[in-house]
Amino acid sequence: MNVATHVLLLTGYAATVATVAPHVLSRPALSPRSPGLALALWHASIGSAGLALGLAAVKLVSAARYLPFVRSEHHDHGIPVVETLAGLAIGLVLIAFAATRMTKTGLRILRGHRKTRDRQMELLAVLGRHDPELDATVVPATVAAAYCIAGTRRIVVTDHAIKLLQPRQLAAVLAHERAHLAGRHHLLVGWATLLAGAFPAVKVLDQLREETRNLVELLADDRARRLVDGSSLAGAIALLGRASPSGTLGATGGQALARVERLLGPPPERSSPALIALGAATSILIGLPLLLASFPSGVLF
Amino acid sequence: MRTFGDLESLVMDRLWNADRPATVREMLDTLASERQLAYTTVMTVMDNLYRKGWLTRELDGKAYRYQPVSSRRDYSAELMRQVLAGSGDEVATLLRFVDSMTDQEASAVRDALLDRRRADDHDS
Repeated sequence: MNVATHVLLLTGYAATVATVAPHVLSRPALSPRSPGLALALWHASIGSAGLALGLAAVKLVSAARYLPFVRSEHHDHGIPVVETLAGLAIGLVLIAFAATRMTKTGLRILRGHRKTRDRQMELLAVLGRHDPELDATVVPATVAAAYCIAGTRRIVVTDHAIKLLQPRQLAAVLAHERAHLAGRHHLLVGWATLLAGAFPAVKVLDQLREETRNLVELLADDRARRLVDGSSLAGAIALLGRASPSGTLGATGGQALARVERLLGPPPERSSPALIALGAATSILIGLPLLLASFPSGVLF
Repeated sequence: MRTFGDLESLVMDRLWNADRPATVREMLDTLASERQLAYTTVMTVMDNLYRKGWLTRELDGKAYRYQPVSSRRDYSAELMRQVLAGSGDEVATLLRFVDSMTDQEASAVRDALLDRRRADDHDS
């Protein structure tokens, strides 16, 4: 198979996965029932499509070795020189474009993250007090809120939230935040944010970011539910999510209600067939682009 | 044993409560009832806070009088603004337990909880 066919196959595959995956993965049967599975499949699908595009670009570039002035014995390889040169240029431009965009966005996100994190730590050092029993930092505030700071081990609760919540509800909130930190959820959210920010024209990446944000909440809910209980957690969402006096900032877009309804229902089962399905699907998603790129010779480049 | 950061927090707390500027000597006296600290320790802590922008100071005779740049309430408001802005922000540094709901969503959540409680009461 020649380079052009490979490139067509790979880009066709990427486009298909990027189009089909969101439809399959947004089905209500999947994500609320097994958020971990949905999260893994989202990232495997997008990663697979990205890998296919990357391989297509590398194919275009690597075809340059057939050029007569690179390797004289391949004179009559049958690939026209002009097309090969055009392919080389396109491949290089695409790779450079993706690398630049991702680096720029990555640096911007990292700078913003450091700024917020450092200012938070600075303010908390003076305003907050560590509560050894809760293993969290308590700060005085007029808002009832709880959060964790990505990239640290810090969980923060306002004194107002402590007053408002019952002990079990508070324990559930803390378990939820601890699950975020233990699961390093900010890395997944950060990765999805990087992709969506680097390629704003690709709408499926916006979806990936939103789903990632949503699914890590469900994952943390499940963990808190196992450690405390679902209705305490649901009660805490109702109390801490109450419309804040500051107005419409950070509206949940219905996510809080969905979380509460899910927590009041039966607990999700952690089944091993689901894990086997996950392993199989992930392997296929990662393997297919490689298979397509090396078909039929078995040689990748 | 408190760490250095804890001392900063303690000094700020006392200055906010006192609501008037204080010299290092005065702060040492205020803290004396609960802590035995060296003059130089308190001086270093207050100087650090000045350098970090938490305190302003004015020369009064031979000693500086220190006072907080802003109120505790103002700093707390800044902290919370960052938290509330977090979800709209591109960078997800602060993972908040739950974002603010609209009134409509809040009442739907309340109804869901009430229904559940009623169902539980009915069962038992």
